[in-house]
Amino acid sequence: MTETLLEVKNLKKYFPIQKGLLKKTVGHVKAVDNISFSVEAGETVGIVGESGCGKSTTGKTIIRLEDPTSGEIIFKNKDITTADYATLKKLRREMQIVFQDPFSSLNPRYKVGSIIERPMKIHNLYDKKERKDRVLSLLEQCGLDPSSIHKYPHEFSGGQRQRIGIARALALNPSLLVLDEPVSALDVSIQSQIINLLEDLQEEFNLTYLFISHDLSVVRHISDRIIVMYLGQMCEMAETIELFNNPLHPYTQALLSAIPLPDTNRKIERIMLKGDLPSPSNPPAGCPFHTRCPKVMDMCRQEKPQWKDAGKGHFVSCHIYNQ
Amino acid sequence: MTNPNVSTVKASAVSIQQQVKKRNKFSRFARSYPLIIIGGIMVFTLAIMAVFAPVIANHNPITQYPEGLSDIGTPIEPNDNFILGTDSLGRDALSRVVHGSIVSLEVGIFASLISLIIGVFMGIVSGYFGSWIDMIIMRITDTMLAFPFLLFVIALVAVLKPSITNVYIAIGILGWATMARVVRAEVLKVKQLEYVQAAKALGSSSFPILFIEVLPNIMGPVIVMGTLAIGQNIMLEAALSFLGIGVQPPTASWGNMLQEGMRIYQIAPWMIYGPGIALIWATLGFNLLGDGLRDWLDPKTGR
Repeated sequence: MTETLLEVKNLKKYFPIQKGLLKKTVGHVKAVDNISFSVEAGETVGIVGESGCGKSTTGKTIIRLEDPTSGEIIFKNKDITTADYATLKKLRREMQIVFQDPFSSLNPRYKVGSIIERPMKIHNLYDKKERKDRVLSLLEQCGLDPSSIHKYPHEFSGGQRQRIGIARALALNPSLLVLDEPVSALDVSIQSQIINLLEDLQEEFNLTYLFISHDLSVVRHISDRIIVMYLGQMCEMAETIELFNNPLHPYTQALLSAIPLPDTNRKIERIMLKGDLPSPSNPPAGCPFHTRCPKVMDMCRQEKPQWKDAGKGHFVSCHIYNQ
Repeated sequence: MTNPNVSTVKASAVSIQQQVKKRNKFSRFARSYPLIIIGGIMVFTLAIMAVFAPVIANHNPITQYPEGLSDIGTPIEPNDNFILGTDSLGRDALSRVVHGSIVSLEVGIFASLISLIIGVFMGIVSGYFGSWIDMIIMRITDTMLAFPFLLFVIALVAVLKPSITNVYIAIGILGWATMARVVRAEVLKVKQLEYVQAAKALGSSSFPILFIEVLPNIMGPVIVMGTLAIGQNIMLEAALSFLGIGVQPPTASWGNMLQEGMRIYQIAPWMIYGPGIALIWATLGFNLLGDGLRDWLDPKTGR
């Protein structure tokens, strides 16, 4: 049995909405609302959902870039929900993040060599020469030319900059990597290169990925398990194959039906969702999806569905399966 | 045996090409940013004047020459010996203007440096940490900006006793408020960028993030503000000296020269030409340079 690397229990992240001169809190944006899941060492868990559903906030809260409102984050059997600065600094060596936008995630004022070296300097690791050797080997492992260390980020293309971002995240030898839409800003041809790189690196360094994306086909390719989020809450969680073959939640079904298929002869029933994503500051009562759900029942408007095991590690939160 | 010759010819051709390229680059820069060149030349002449003041000035600026006064005791007009004439005490006006540039530059640069250091620190802390720290610092700047600046400086100089050092200290420690506001606005823009978050995720603590990640990316506006501030502070020093609470006689300062000249400008108008033109030259030079730098470093604004 593989060990559990990360466990998230009832995680909530609310952003206060402040108004007026005295900054009175008039409400909360419920970016992440009661999320629980666990990640085993060496696996890739994908989180999908449309923009604004809280998937990035989930990632950032897990690595403690945002402070959780409530809930527990357990990493390597240690509760890190309220870890102090010193513990957190040690923790940074274990968990790292790769950002979405390769153009703003690298400081334009520094050369690539010093960008990748910075994390080792922050943690006082190795001496000068060892650091340089490590920068060079990281560059090579991420498919970049060693001469890159003397160049500035603006001299690189988006895909290359994302490689630099990955190299920087790997500099501390983390075991968990949160990938916050690492390929959404890239061309499709470059996307696959980065995905392949990530897969190679995972094998080489025994990494665990939390892969956040809105692109189902990318997530399907890389993930072992997938979590579907809607409006800060989890709709469904299952192994990749199971989820794609047997989507239970109406929202997942709608999402899957929207994936374009290369085969033009195969006709699929496209489920069109009506309306917009409701505001996360004022989520609908009952099931958050009931305003747009094609299979809505009276019950959905009043009661929150339970998180239910549908067998084979397939979990869903929908009233249809509760009966 | 021809090979070495060919290679040297080639090498020199290459080096000429590189020179031409360099010159082209410079002329293109000069054409795109003429203000930097013009302002730079004006500031440069000023600096030369200050550095070589004893060489350029052919008289001692504070010696009262007997031959510098007419028979009835009035200043004499420009002649071969006293190129810009003399003042009411028989001192050489040109030498005083030249030596006055030292005072102006000293006050302008040091005062700007002091307000720059305080302003950048306050602005960066205020913008990055936000919440109550931001609130307190911003209310302080509001209060400082609400006072008439010149009166504030006059009051402080009066308390500290007038001298060159005290003038730039006073201007410096009172002039940081606008600087802090500009820096704060820049920090608010930069701090939400992902590389700042990345540094945080890598375990960097607040102050290293501020000075390693944020500061280098807001240097553009800071340099522009600093350059413009030098011009303003030169003007301010002249105003203080004009009012008699800045640089004290007999030390030459454009401000106190103007003040002396103003009293008798009807009989000796040349006394205000030198310091007046020098003052315009210096302020204009720094302002043009600052505006040029803004165009160059921050192409999104202005134009």
